[in-house]
Amino acid sequence: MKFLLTLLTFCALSMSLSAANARSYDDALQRSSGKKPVVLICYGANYDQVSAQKVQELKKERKMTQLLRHCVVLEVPVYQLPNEKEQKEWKKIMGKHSLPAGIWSYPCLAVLDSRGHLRGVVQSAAELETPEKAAAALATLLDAYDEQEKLLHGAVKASDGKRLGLLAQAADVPAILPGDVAVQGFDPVQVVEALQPMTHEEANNYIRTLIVSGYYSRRQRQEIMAAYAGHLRRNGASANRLRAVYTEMRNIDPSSIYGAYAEGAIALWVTPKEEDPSKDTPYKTLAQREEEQKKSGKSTGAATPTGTPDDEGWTPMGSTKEPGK
Amino acid sequence: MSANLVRLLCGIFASMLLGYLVRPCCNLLNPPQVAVSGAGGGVADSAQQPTTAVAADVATELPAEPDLPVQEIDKALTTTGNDKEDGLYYEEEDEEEVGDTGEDWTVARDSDSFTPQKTPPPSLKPIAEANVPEIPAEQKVPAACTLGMQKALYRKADNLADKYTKALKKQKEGVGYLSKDLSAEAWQKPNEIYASLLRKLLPGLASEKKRYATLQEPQNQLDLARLTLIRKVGYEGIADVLEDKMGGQMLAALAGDLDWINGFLFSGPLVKPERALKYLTAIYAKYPEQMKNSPHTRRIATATALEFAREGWSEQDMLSRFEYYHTSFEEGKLNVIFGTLDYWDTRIVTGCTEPSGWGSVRSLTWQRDNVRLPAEGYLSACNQLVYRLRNVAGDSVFSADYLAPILDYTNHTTAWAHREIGGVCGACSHYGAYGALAAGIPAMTMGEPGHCAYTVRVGNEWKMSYSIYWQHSMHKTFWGLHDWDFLMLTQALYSDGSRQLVSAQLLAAAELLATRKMMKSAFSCYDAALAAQPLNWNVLVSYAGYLKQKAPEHTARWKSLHDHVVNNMAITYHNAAATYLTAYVYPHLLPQVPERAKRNKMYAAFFDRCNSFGTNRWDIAPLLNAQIEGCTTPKEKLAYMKDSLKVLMGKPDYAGAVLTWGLDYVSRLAEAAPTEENIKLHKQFSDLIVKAMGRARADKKHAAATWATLSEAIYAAASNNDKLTFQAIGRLAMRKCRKNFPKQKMRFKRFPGRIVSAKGLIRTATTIDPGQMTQCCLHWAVLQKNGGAIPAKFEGEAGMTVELESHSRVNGVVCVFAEKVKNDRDFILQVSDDGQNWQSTEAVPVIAGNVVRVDLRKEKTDADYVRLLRDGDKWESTINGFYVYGKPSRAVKK
Repeated sequence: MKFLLTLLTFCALSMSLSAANARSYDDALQRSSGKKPVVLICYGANYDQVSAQKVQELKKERKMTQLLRHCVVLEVPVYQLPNEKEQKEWKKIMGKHSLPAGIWSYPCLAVLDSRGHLRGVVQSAAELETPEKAAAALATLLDAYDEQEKLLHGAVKASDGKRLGLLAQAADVPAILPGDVAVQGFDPVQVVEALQPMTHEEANNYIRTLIVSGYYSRRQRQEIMAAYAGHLRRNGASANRLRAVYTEMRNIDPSSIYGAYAEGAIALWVTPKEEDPSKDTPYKTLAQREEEQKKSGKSTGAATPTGTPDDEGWTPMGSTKEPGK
Repeated sequence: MSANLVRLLCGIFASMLLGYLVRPCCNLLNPPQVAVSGAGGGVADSAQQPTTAVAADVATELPAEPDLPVQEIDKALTTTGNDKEDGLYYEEEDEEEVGDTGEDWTVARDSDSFTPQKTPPPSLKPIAEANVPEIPAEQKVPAACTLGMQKALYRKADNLADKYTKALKKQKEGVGYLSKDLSAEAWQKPNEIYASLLRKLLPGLASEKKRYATLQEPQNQLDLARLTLIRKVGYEGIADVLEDKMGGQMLAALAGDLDWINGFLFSGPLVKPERALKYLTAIYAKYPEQMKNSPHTRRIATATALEFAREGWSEQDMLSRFEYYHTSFEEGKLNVIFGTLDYWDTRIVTGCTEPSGWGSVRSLTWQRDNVRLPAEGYLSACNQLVYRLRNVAGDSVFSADYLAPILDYTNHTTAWAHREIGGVCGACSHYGAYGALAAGIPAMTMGEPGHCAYTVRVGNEWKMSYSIYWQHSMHKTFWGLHDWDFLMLTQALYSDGSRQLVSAQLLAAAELLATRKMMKSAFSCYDAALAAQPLNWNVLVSYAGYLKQKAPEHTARWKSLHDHVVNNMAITYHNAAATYLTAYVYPHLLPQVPERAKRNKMYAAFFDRCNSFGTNRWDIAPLLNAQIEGCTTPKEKLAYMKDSLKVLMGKPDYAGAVLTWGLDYVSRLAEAAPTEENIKLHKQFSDLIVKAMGRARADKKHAAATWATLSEAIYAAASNNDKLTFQAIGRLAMRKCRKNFPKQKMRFKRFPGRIVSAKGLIRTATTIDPGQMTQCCLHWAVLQKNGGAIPAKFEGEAGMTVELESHSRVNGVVCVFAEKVKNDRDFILQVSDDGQNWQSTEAVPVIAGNVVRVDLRKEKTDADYVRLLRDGDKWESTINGFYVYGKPSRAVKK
């Protein structure tokens, strides 16, 4: 009985995988035909023991096979100093193409659209720690991909102003925007430079105008706030004002890197603590950080003499709520 | 022969015992030098030191005390307090020591700088010579090796290397040579081991006939390594190791395993070996089983211990680094390349710099798990970082605020923090290089002028990444020499493992014989070591030191050494060969060869080998400086310059370099001592250069090479403020390569007067990269009516500077940019009479399209120099024309 079950599961898994498996890169894009995302399972084939082993584990994960059933899957063995046979193998799979930029480590699960644009990668050690975590990360990515596709589809038909807003929303989704989508031309360093000659008040007005425009993604808004906070910090702003700005920056997206940056800035420049910097604490995963935030409330350093943000989310420096909400 | 040997051994024991007896006195008094009779050996001069003679007799019966290091015993017997006068030159241990070339190498250096550092060649540090009797037959310097003899020695070494190759293959299969004849208890008396091994091995090593047969035996190889270990570490160092509970066991295991001890002694520089042994003991104590059973563990441990001891890093850091690589390797988390590494390249990996920061276990672990790529993939890993001089908050990369807020989040992991926030060339290159190192692949960062790049070894080839300039200063070196050529030399040397081992063993034998005052045998052993592997830098340095000490005026040997380097090393490694000749050979050989013709023949022999730059472009100036230093009169110098120009102008790679050097040399000469003689030399050389370049062909086939040579020379002239040469080369370039200059005149509104900058000199503040270097003649053209092109940079007091043809009344200045100039920041015009003290003009520069105009007619400004600056620190587009209008002051007076 047990043997039969195993056999059935194996058949089901292999069928489900092989049904969507592509033979080559071109074949994968063709099969995708704008409907299904392409998932490249890339791994180090001849130089990395962990990589190949991990891919085998991933392929055995049930949730993973379920997810991959809705995608076009292509396995890409990556070779180190390939010999002739390996070169042929690579050419057979990739043809004249190379892997898209943005893949930083193998093994990885790279999600591509039908035009070959990279739309997200599961590649960090934290994401690939266990097959379950990798499957969860891929699920998030595939959901984000669908959502982003819808937004981008809407943006194509929308007028200029609305288009920018939709693009900003699409950028907020935890997937990568396709390379050929023109996003609002934005360079955070330009904001830094623009702020340089401004007084605190001018800077505040300038920043607010950018933030409320609705054209910027969450990350971009955080970067704008970082530039503003940096400007204030270097020009002798009070701790209260700084705290308010960093809090606002963090609250835009507490789970992002700039959410963490703002948190760190509050701890470092607004409420300095005496801690041993050499203390080795284990890496905090995103889930752990979110858990901690839930426990402690999101007001680390947010309290101001005039009180925490009110119900409307207003502080003396302006709204701490996400614009448009 | 046997009588001599007995005498010799008597001498050894006498030395040891005497050291023990004399040492306490040495600490209290300044003892007179102990002269030891050379005749027969072993009997000291009783008139001067009666104790010595008595002790020498007694010593045959009594072994020396175990806690006395060989060096200390020798020192007690022979030193006058001045090692340099008494000692043998053959070993480099103190990296701080300045080379003996007489040149000042110690230049203050900004710790953040990526500019190549000028490094001294390894010094020839003296060590005390053992007080052993001299054997008269051994006190002769044998004749220099002929080419035939060298070939014969090479063949012998080749046979031996073949046998080593087979043995190395067996070792890799886990069947290495082991010997358990020395137990942990036996190591309690290293002096006895030393004496008995010396007795056993010395005759075989000293004899030219028996030497190779002796080294064929694995047991003899092991004994030689043991002797070398004791000699290098000293009794005191061994006693230190023995203090540890596991010290004896570790020593017995190390000295009983041929592969392991060879890896410890002959895999690169052996600096602070006693500390390395202590470190190795610490690992052995913690992982005894793995150290006994796994050759990989021994390799990782030895490499890490050696490198951390060499660098002076702590034991704790060493253990962390070892555990990182050991555990990662055991768990299969490293690239498969790591498993194939030898001892020497494992040292490059596990000894990577910065035990904190990029090289911290935390950062390495993060990169190992998050940047897993095939070896060639690390060459582009630098692109994973966003290049940002200022982060999104506007904090500079040079301030701690750049990463500070993110450090807690990234758990103080340098690589992770930079990937999130960004960095500049330093961070990008470290990210790429340490990504590879974390995976166990040899890599290193390297400095370039104002930039940082890196290199990764892919297969057996070192490939550069992120490099923008030809000058590379490697951040990890074996011999303290940072040029790219030395990395290539290291790779070539150690890739041929068995040949390297033969030469290293012969070197160890030569040094051993040298300490036993067996000069003839030592020289013959050095000859054998040189022939076995001509690229072995350690052998070359050691031999030069010994030759300098024992036969500084043996012209034939110096000449032979010169030829050896030219015939073997200079074929591929031009820079390394030139460095060696400059630092070690020329200072002794050139004074012994006064005839110009003979010298020129020597120089030509070297340059004959250099048809291209070799492994990488290199700085030819130190070599030419060393050669010209041999000339005493200005006439000789000019003749030398003429000869070198003649030889090198025919080589496209070197033509520009030799011109640059010449211009530099004469300018510095005239600047340092503006005597009539030096000014005349300057003038003559400038004429010489223009003439030499005038002969350069500019037909279709040679046009590009001529243009590049002229460009490099004109850049050198501008850098040296040599207006006359700048103009002469500019005009010559116009004649030779007219096609490369713009044909149409620039269009803009002029000022009254004539252009007083056309015969001047223009300098830009920006660094010229190799691509731009070939276009420097267009800098000259910027001052001419048709215009040219010069890259612009305005930063603080750095901008465009123009030296006028003479002191002039300036009416106005026009600067024409290639693109439209943004009117967001002000330009500033300054004038000066000396190029040092500057004064801003009151007139405001006006921007109109791509032209900036400054009207000075109302100010009546007189100047020799004019410079244009701008607020802020941004790059500007190229400048096509720069014109200063006015009248030379003579005309104004009239």
